[in-house]
Amino acid sequence: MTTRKPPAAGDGPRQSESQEATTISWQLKALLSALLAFHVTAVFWAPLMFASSGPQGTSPFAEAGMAVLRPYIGAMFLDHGYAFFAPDPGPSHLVRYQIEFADGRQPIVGRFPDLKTEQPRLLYHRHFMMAEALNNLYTPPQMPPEPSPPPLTATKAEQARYRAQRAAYRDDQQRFAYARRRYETMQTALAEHLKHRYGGSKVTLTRVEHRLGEPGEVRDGVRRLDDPDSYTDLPEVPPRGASR
Amino acid sequence: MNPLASAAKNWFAAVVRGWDRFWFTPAQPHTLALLRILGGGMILYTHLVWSINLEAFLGPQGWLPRGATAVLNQTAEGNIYAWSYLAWVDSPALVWPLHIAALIVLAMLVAGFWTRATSILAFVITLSYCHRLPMAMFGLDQINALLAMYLMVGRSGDVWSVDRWLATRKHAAPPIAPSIGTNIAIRLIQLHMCIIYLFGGIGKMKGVTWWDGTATWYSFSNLEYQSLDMLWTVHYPAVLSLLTHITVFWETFYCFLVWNKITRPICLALAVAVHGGIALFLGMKTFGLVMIIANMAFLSPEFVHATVALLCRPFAKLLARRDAVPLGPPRAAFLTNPSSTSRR
Repeated sequence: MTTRKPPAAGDGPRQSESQEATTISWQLKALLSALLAFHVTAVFWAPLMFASSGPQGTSPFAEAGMAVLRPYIGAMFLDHGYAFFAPDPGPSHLVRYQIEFADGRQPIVGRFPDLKTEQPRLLYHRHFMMAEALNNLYTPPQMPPEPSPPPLTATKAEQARYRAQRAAYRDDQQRFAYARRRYETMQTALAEHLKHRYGGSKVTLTRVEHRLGEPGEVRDGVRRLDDPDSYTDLPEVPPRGASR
Repeated sequence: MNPLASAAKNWFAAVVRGWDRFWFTPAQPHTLALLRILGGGMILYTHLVWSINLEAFLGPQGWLPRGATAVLNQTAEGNIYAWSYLAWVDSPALVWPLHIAALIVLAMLVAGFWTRATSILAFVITLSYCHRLPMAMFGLDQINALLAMYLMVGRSGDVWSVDRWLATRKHAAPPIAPSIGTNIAIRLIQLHMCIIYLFGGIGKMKGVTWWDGTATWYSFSNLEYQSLDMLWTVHYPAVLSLLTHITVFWETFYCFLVWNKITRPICLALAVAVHGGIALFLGMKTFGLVMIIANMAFLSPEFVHATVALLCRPFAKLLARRDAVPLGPPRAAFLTNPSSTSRR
């Protein structure tokens, strides 16, 4: 559609003046084709990587391609899954903060995002995204326990399974350290900013989940979207037996 | 020749011809120029909003100081590919001049002044902000970056630009000519949009609520997104589920339906409806608008030219009347038919 020349007589190119813009050598076409194919592949690969991730890990094929394309994808800001409101629209995540003062002033308690103080809406959304990002980065402070060695009487198959679990655990340890460092970095950065902004001596951040309104509750007038019981504080250390 | 080999040869030749036609057929600049003005305007607005609290984001004690961003941008292997000139500065004495310079460059892009240079600089600026504040980004920034990236590929300043106006005043304006670069830019935006919608649709297909028809309700009932109370829709579950199903199928099949002349208008109308809804009801005016702008890449230059000419007709007459003696025809032509600005 966009490639057709406009039909109006005066809009067409003057052959002599626009020659360079309308014709190029086959060598240049081949080079451009290779660059275009590479770029479009990179655009495709980032969401493919995201879509092909599951509880068992990521598709090895997608991982292999990503290993090659990652520098380009990272440099060009193409690393997105494009999963808007997917797989399901979920609850919102906010951050509540409490700032304490060394001089005995009353602590300040606030929450972001906050539409009352963050205007225009785009600025509010920036704060909202930071709160969501903190929650997405959350990694519990302790790794799940190491796999226990099998008894001395274990069969060869059981011993082999244990060795595989141990190897996987070492990989998990590295992933955990990386993920935890990212979470702690963001948490510290946000807390330090608030401490500096208000001149406080100590800042405590709490991730808060705001659950969505169920159709039945809203239809029957049982609950409003901002009812206090729809906000849940998320613990920094998950309760025993809980998994994230 | 063996019929199989012959068929393969013909198929391969058709693929090469199709590829050549798709990427290397010159295109007129009107669609890309429109994207420059509207998309560039959105990029400018996005950066203007950072000014409200610039030091809280880019200063040394900001939400995400440079050191924190470096850690957050690091891959598991310890590499950082996300570059940004803002990763080197956080002093307000430097951040503010850089920010003001960025705003000037973006305004120049919208106006189409030194368009070639400013489009490249606009891309560098857009990505630098995205990479400097990765945890504050969302869909709007992804589309801003997409538009900035492809605007620098084509000749978006060939029409409706200060560059064109200045050249016309000097009687040095070349005819408005189609170019391969412009076509490549438009094609890249189109393909990128198809990939976005394909994975948007696939992502939704993994969910439960996009199948049972409640996803639209749950989107409406999110207080943090909500900008217009749509809770009354709870009494119309069939309508809500219809909207949900339409969204999933439209997103998933957009990459096929948008190329066909018959289905393209439906596809684009749905894009306006869905993104308009997001803008109005879900508090994301900027994201909704920028998605509609990016969808305009599927409008033909003839259509864009005719529509803009129609919308600008009153202004063109006004300018033509005011400048009738010294600058009448060129300035009027800046807003009207590009053919009349051509050197004869």
